[in-house]
Amino acid sequence: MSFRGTSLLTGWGEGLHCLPTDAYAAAAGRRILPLSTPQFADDHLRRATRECLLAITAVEQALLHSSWSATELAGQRTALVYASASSYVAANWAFLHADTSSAMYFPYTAPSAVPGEVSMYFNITGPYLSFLSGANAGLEALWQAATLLNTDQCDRALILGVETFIECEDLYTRGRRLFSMPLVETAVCLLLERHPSLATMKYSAGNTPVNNQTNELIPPAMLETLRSTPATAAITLCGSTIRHSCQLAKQLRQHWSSSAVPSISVVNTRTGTCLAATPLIGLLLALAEAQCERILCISRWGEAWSILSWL
Amino acid sequence: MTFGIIPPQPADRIAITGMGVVSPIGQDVETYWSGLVNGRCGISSIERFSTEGMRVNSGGEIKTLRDPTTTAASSLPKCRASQFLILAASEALQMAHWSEAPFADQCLGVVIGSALGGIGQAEYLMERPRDLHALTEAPYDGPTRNLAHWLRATGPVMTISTACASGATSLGVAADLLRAGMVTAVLAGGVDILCRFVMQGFNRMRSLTRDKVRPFDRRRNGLLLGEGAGIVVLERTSTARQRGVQPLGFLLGHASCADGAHISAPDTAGRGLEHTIRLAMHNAGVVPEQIDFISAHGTGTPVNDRIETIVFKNMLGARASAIPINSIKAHMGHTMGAAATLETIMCILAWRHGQIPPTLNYGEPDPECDLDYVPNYARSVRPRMSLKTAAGFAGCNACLVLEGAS
Repeated sequence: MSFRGTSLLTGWGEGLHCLPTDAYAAAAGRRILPLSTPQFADDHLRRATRECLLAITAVEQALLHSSWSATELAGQRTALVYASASSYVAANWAFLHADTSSAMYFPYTAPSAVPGEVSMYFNITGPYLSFLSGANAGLEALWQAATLLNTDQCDRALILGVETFIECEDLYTRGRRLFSMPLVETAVCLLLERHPSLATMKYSAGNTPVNNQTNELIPPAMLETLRSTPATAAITLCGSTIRHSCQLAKQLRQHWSSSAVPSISVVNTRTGTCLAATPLIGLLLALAEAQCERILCISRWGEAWSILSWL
Repeated sequence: MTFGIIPPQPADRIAITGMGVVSPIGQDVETYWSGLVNGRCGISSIERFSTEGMRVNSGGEIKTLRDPTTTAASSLPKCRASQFLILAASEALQMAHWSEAPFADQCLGVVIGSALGGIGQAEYLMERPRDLHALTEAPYDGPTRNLAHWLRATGPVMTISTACASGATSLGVAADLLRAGMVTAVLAGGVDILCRFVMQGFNRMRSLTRDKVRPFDRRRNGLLLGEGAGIVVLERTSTARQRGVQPLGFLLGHASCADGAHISAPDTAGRGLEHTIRLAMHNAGVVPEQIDFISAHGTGTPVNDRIETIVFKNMLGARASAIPINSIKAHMGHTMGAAATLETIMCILAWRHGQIPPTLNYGEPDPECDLDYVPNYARSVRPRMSLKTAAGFAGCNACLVLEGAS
């Protein structure tokens, strides 16, 4: 697989090389690693929220990387598929607390406001949808983008993930059982174009309650999917938290039937908690670092799980 | 035209085998249909929360949620949107002759579209500070996960948001899952509830009318909000046949595309909507001459209805004025994420019953909206092939091509 262009902005810096080897240690007690707000002179963006501006910046950087122009991105033949688990929270939180004279945050409360501003800024008028299924949304967006390309409904697809936290620090602190620290703000963009390798992409997903007695995170259906994975593959795991991902990795190693276990990396230990952006970063990391013929990206969110396999 | 997918062969067509409804005019398919054709209005003064300080205090509110008849009644979650989904799903599964949960031996997927997700629950919890921790369990995908948990679904569980087009986009994604062979069946649909949050938002935008909702009428000046859930069971026709179940209808094609124009208004020329309809029809392998009926988004706002009319004329040419078009937003308000699924169900029922429900409150024709909007009274027509259009904030458009089953 080859992406035409990619970009990654995180609270750690720009690009994969800024990711630490141990996010928890590198955070040094910080709960949230924020991204700074991009500045635009464009008057059309005067009402756009921070998450919208981060999304536009990520697309601009991916365009630079791709050597495509913004003109090439415009029009009906570009698909825009968005994934997020948190980017709408700030606007919703602000609107819930807003005084009645202000309409500032509405309709930016709609999760589609982020891809909406991107579509307006770049004049993208092709296939367009948003996935909000927690950490699995990143892989769902990749699958949908590949489906749109494979069925010739577009010539190129822009997969965008944005996660922001800082505006609702108190809320996430109260919810730390679900969102382990550090929470790392992220804007990631992948520009995908039609390529023969897309035909070999396999996506599977399911929903299996965790057995509280055994704490078994790997359901039989997931194991079935993984059984044919050769030892030369790289498996990249993206759970909802670092602890969750490490548990998943441990159980996965125990389940492997042969002695030749594929390399298994836990993305969250490098990134921190980036929710739906984590599997997109995981894929970029695997492509950049793993010398292998197949990459398996696994995400799990609550009871639901997704596996994306790419040759 | 070079784009689009190859239309599937009949045996692989995506069949609708079950439908479930929770709406202000009926909390089951039969009552809903009766309300639609008889012109029942589900709009009333909102009682469930305070509308103090708002210009408008009416909407399509469900006053009393029907008692669940399912065995899982005692385990219904507290979240109202989740309750809507579970009640609608329960009816849809029964109609599709799927036995109730568990579905351990079947790969059952869940794809739900919503404009608000669990925000109503978040609002409720915020009024009770000691429950603030639970807020983190009320995000946009909360109702979908609650439904999947209740179903013990083992397939993919996805939450989609394309604002008020979500209930159409979710059906499209579900069809993609089926075509990819990833699931045996999918429960797909949309949900949204009325809450102070969304009423405040639309109120501040001055999108709500103090009058009646009057889609396509010259006097139209805004929408009213409503709440509800619509669920359909989708499966491949071959699967339905193997189970001995007769499809109710088919989802032949779908598309969801961007306007790229404005955060809260449609493109003034309707280009996004037009491209969406063309792509959906092409994916379905259908030409304009085959369309018998259009279920419009028809919100009753001056801009939406005029633009939809322009697009229908562009798409259908001279034939546009011969095709019946309706909007059921005046019956129950705009149910946001649920609207397109509820209207999809209406299209299938129109074919089965040989009647098209009316567009209510239509009295004065608008020169800019000069098509056949089925005013005020149901019409005896059996529309086999229907278009369902939908639109939402941030330039979201969606279209479904539906066919009734013989």
